[in-house]
Amino acid sequence: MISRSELKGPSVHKYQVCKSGLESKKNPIGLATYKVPDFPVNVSLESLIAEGKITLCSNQSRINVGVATCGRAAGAMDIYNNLEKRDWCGAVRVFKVGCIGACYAEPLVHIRTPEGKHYFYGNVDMSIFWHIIKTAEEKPGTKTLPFLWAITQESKTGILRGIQDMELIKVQNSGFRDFFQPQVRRISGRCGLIDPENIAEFAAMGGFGALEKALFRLKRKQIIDIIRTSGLRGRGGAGFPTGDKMNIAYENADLVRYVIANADEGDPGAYMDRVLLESDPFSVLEGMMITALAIGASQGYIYVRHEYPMAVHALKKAINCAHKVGFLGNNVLGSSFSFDITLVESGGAFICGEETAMLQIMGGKRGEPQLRPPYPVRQGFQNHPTVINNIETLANIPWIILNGAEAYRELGTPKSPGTKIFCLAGDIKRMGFIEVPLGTSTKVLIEKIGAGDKESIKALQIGGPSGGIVPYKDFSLDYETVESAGAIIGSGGLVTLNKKRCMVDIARHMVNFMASESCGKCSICRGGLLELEARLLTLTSGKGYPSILTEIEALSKAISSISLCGFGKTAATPVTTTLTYFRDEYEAHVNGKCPAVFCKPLINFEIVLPCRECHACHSVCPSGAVKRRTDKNERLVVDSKLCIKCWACYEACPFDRIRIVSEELHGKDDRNHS
Amino acid sequence: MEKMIEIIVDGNSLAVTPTIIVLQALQEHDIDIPALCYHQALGGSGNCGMCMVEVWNTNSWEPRHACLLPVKDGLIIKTATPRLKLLRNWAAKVLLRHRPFNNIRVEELLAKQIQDEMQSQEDEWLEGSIKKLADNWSDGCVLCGLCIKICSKVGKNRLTYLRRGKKLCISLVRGQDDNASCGNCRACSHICPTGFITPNPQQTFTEILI
Repeated sequence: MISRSELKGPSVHKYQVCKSGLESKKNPIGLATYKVPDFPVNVSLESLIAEGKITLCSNQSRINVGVATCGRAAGAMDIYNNLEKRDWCGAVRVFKVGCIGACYAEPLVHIRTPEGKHYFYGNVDMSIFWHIIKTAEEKPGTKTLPFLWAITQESKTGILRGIQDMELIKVQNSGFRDFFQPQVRRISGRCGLIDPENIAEFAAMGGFGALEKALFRLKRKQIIDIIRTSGLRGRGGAGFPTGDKMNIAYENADLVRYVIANADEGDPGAYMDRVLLESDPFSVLEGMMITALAIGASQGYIYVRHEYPMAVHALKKAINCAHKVGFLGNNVLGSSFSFDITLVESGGAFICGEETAMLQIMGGKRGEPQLRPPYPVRQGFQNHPTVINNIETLANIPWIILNGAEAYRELGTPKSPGTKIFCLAGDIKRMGFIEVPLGTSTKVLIEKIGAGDKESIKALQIGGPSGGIVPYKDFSLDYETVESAGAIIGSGGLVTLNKKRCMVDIARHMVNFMASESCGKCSICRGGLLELEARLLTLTSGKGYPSILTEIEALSKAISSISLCGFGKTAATPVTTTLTYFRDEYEAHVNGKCPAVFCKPLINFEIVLPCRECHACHSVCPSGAVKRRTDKNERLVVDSKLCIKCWACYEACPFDRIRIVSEELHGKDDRNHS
Repeated sequence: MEKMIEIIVDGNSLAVTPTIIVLQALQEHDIDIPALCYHQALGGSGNCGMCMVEVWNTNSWEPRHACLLPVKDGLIIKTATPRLKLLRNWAAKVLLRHRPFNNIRVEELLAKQIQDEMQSQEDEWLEGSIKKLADNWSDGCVLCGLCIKICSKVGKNRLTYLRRGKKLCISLVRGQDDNASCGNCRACSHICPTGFITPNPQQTFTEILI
């Protein structure tokens, strides 16, 4: 006989192909006689919503701790474990949620009280536990306020479909308001409010409504028409109209079609796919299901990089969950539509986010981009029409189906409608994940949301390493304007660079990244980028020669014209854009000067008078370069031959008497000893 | 007999069979286009970037790989323009970093494409830093991948590219249970354009090839 406790194994095993999954399949739970039912338990959407409401808007207080990757890095797991351990006497429940977007304020704890009030606490540490506990137990003490960031109230108590249903009633931390006010959370409204592993909470937040509408109230052609009129453009980088892509697959004579979600996100500084998958995986599944329904696919794949373990975990759980309640598998929601999703895990590489390279890997080959045409939408995975969409694009689809194309077009510009998620990083105070209408100006993003200092910002790097670096000025962020500036919106990474960054060194860093991530098939992309990197290295180490800038220009042109795929064609963009906008910096480097005093071989440290002789610099110098001069007026000097340019003295000096100089060298002989 | 079609190369019209690629057509008519990674039996791969030609595309000239371009009726091509010379110059420079080659003809072919004399002084420093930046630099092999292709066609399909980007290399991957690893057909050493795969223990993929 088997005991009852042994029967509690997972009831559905048909969900994935990754290694760990195969292993668990081999030896599932040691139940020989127990037969896993291969039919899902059909649950209606209404009962799911009712179930979700119980935890989401209940009579108990609810504490949400953000434990996405950013939260964990800031130590949210400790906070969660401590709160979870406490005996709340049934009055409070603690949940793990995803990221709300304010990554600068992690760890973030958010409390919902039964009367619909939401309390936000940012930068939480052990010292304010007591206030969190008191707030959750509905006894707000007087000392709560200094640590509290904001209080919001649900517009209608008990109805919460996203962050847009809340009204700010008290703001303690004005940065918090500035961060959220310009944002429009259409597709990321649920992030950080729901338990990403709970399908019922997703449904209670308005999820699966679009799927139900598409299944029972719309025809397949109608779905495609709605997406087409909405003007949604692919969020992966190229900005191809999503509706047109669906239509091409729909009209193809081949009836076997696939949907693939591309979650191989590799741009440094962009992490919107990760946040969406970690915080709200069901919306991606819903988008995939609607796409599949429209084009007539019955199998979908999610291609996700192995470097996102939490996203992989969340997806596995989500797919498993959706199977259990009959939202995936045969006869979704009792209709005639059947759909299944398989997770493909792969080692992350920048080049594998390119759709043809991704298809190669899914076919078991080396990740090399292939010549297009044929485009995957006509002849893709296993030579069948394949619609490959970015995660963010898929997350947009349910919103459009639910609210209609006209409502979608209300925001954004006529040519790029809707909202876009950007990831702010770099030299700003408030970094994070934001969603704004397309066409929002950079001033709002950088100065209001990001709290960047207008005076000190020099440049913006938009669209990852194959995007461009453009000087910071006020311009609107939509596909056309950014393209005319020489960059691309790409996946939406926005790295702010301030005046202390050397543009030549940034360009060298980007080319280094591209040279390491190139697939290596075209010799001009592999070797040419290496040549380019070596030339930029020549500049940053002070060995420039007069003809080097023309060489760099010609080489960049050669790389983009000879390379076969999109990677090679755009690989030199950081160099060409910086050469256009910051040519003076390049010219200074040729002469051995770094205007941003960043490149180590080109700078020297000086102690300027009046020096108080506190010897702080002398005591921190690791190489003994700060010495006492032994001639008539004894004073401290930096010996440039011993100096390793670690900036320790500069940071140690309490009186700011250390100056960094970078001077142009004249003549070749001077250059040799530098 | 197949029907011939007409393409225009540098102002002269040529009659070619419709099933071939441009590089083949040019070679048949004795128009000299440098190409390193192309082999008739294996088709083009666009690897070395030496065979660039300019193609008239509705309103502008576009640089394209001759080895990947199928011929089409009325195709207009230029084979020698200042831009193409510049492109070939850089492609050749990149490839020449791998010298010395065992096959001296390759070096001559590439050197012919280089237009300006390289500055020797700066070049030494550049060459040093390039070899430092790339992890495993192999002199003599341009990583064109012909050996991989031929091995998958006539051999045991044991050769492959490993790693990526700057660290790319070609390697022999042994099977799990056969020690004889490679079929010893030596097709790779015959097809290697630079003569890198030779009966020299230091320069072969496997000692069995000797």
